[in-house]
Amino acid sequence: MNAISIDNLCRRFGGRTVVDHLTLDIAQGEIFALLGQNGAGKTTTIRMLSCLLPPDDGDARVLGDSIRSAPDAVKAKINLSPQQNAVARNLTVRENLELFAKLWGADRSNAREAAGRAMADFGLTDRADERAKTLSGGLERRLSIAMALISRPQVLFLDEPTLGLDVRARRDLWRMIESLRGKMTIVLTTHYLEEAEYLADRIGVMQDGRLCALGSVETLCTETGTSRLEDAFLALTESGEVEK
Amino acid sequence: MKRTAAMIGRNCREILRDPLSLIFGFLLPLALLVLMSAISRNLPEAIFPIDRFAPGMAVFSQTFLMLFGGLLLAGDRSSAFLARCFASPLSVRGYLMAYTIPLIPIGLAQGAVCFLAALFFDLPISLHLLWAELALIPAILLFVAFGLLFGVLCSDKQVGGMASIIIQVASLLGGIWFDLDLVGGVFGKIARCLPFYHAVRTVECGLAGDFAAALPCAVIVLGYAVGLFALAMVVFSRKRSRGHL
Repeated sequence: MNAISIDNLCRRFGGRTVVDHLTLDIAQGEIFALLGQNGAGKTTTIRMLSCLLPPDDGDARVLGDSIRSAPDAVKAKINLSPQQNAVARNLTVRENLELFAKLWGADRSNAREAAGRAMADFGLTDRADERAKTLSGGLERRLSIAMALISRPQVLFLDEPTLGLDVRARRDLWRMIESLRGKMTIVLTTHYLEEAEYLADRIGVMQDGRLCALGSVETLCTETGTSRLEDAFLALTESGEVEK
Repeated sequence: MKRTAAMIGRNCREILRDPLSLIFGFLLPLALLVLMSAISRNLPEAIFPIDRFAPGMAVFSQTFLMLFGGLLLAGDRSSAFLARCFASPLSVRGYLMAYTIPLIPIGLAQGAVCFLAALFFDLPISLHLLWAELALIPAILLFVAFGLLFGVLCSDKQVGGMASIIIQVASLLGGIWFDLDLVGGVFGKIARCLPFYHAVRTVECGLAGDFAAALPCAVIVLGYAVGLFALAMVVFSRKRSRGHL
């Protein structure tokens, strides 16, 4: 069974089609990157897959459960880290983590244990009792991703996980995401092509709400006759849909 | 319920750790009560009799619940914190409870502080103080409901403005600063159509031990509160189902 099976997913805002008959399968344990220019439909796709936004047409199954008919079952298996550092700013690092463990059903002792583990994994133990609003951008982003992982999701959505981070913080985060390879399915959106190149098993390129290319870095380069992902991306998003 | 309790705990901490909550919710009404009562004491005729002014200040302090709740909810919307919580299996009812329940004990504490301070200005100690505390509940629910509605409808920058308008209207038309019976006319009629005057009257009557007079006033305030809660819930559910929260 695929981790995610998307079937003709559509979403319109007003008269504008933002996601246009998207069909795609993502395997379990895969790190999948969604690339595209601003407004290509990446975030809307993630929001639909994480049951935050209902699709207008089509459906998607997350580990067998439909986002339309069984959103609660889907929610129990997923978690997401949004573009912004969405943390509770007046709560400490530990309290933020415990809150998210409890929101996904952990009791007090399990939440405390999970928070301790997450802080150790993400290098946040020495900041455990500091309020989130006092953290630097990089640490806040780490916390945001740790909050998404604390429920041990089977599918994790990361919406531009390294946006606005400096080079070192970005590399640190890449290593953390890399360490999750094979343990869970990860779908990430990014504008940093080197991030997709470093992390993703496969890449989907979206343009105007449609998937215009799909495959590994090598496949995309071969299809476009280029040697670098950046050139391949530019070629794909200039020419629109290519044959798959 | 465990999930809702976790969210209630979070919201409670967020509000209580914000120094503005302490300043507006507790210190400002307390300072006004002390100041006005001290002035009144030195005048030949009390312009702010404590048995009327203390209930007014207790209700005035509740108006800030609207600000706390509205700002928290609107802030969570704008920071995408709420959106990421929506990816959890917590229900819509759970969210609304989580943004309502923490404010009730805070409101009761604010009221208690006002009545305690009023004891220093000759408010007699009696069992009626407990009734006055309980009579605050309709006002608490009213302003929490206003906060929820503003938090759902407005941005975090707009909530402050909207709440300020209601705080001013509640102060003027609630009869906190003067006796509305002395004003009468259209102003008095408008005031009696709105819930703020009745919220103050409920607490005044509770403090006087006049339950027969308190009940109809409480029913009016609760009617407004239920209406506002229902409206907030409808808007919240609609916005959430459309992915606009």
